[in-house]
Amino acid sequence: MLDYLWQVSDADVQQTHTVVGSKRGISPNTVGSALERLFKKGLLARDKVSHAYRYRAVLDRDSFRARQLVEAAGGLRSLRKSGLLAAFVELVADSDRRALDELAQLIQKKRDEGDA
Amino acid sequence: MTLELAALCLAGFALVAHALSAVIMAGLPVLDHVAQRLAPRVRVRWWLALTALPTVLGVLAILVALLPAWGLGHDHCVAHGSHHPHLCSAHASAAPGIVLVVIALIVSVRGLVELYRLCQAARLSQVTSRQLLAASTDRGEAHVFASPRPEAFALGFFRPRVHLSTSLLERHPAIVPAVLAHERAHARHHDGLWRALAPLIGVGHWPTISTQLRARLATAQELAADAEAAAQVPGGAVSVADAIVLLAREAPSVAYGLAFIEGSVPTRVHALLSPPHSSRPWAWSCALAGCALPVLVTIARDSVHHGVETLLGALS
Repeated sequence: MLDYLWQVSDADVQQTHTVVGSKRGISPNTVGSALERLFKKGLLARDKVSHAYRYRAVLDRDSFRARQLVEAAGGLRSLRKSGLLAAFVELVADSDRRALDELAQLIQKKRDEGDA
Repeated sequence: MTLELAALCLAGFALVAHALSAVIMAGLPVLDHVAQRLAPRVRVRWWLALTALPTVLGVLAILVALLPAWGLGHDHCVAHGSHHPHLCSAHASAAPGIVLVVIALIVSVRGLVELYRLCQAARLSQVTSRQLLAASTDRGEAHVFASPRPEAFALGFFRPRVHLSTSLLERHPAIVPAVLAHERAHARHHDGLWRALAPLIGVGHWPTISTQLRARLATAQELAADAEAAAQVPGGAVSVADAIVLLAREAPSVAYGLAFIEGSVPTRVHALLSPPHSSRPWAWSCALAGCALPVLVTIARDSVHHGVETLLGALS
């Protein structure tokens, strides 16, 4: 829904349902509820035109992503602390540069043996 | 199941499980030696099995001890004296002593706490994953998010997805295949889910032993993912080792106050560059022993029944 609203300046429930909801078999009521929830979260603004609300995105796509990333960062921090998030290389509090240099030399030696 | 019987069962489970946990602790050097002979992914299963073993056998011992009351095994209810507690679902049990009640309470609280933590972690993982996906671009094999740090991880309990940062793709494109293969291995084997479950399935262990086994499990998962990545990428083990060292150099000196995982980088690089000898017969022997244990416990059900009652009687 946000993707659609970023493409158009604003839209009402019916228009949003036609483009987004009907393809997925979602009813207009469900689309309306979802737009209402996004409005309450502060992601959409709305104006009443005649009897219907017209919704528009408050944040552009990049700002929305940045906001989601900030919110995710807290979760990522907690998950890392609990050991539940396996990063490719765990972030170190005190990196030992000399040990890394020795490892790099070991890798180069292995690479040279392989080439030979 | 009366409250008295439930307390006896919980206390019995705790006694059996923690006794086995102490045996595992005493045999840890031998278990480490066996683990070194196993292939990387088999080693992960080895540590998972050892984490779960006291809990599984503790539950099994109690179920087996209750079998005679269900008509399976020698029914000695009529002749049972009061020399030790009577584990029987058909007849009323005497109130357990205070020591057994305290043991039952401790193990119950521990189990509930770990279950609560698991649910919290699952919820946090779900919410964070949703937020991160909304902030990411789907590039097919991975979801890319904006970050000034080169990062890569697999996130998600039941449907783990691989996440890479833009910084990693822009600054180190040459190592991306190795990093991607490593994280895909984590996702494929649901390593995050097993790591989250380990505290709960290890509730039969003493806490210090559980922590040590979980550390070994985490290391084994990393080494297994490294080995699978090495088998897939051009340049093999050397490429993956290179990627590890390169990213370790980029890690900031202070990052969110995280604990330093000692030996993680050197352990992984050394394992990649000099793979240990692994032996199929060892893996088969361990699997057979694992299958044989529950069968033996069930066959010796009368002895297990009396043994558990005697153990409970000693603390009554």
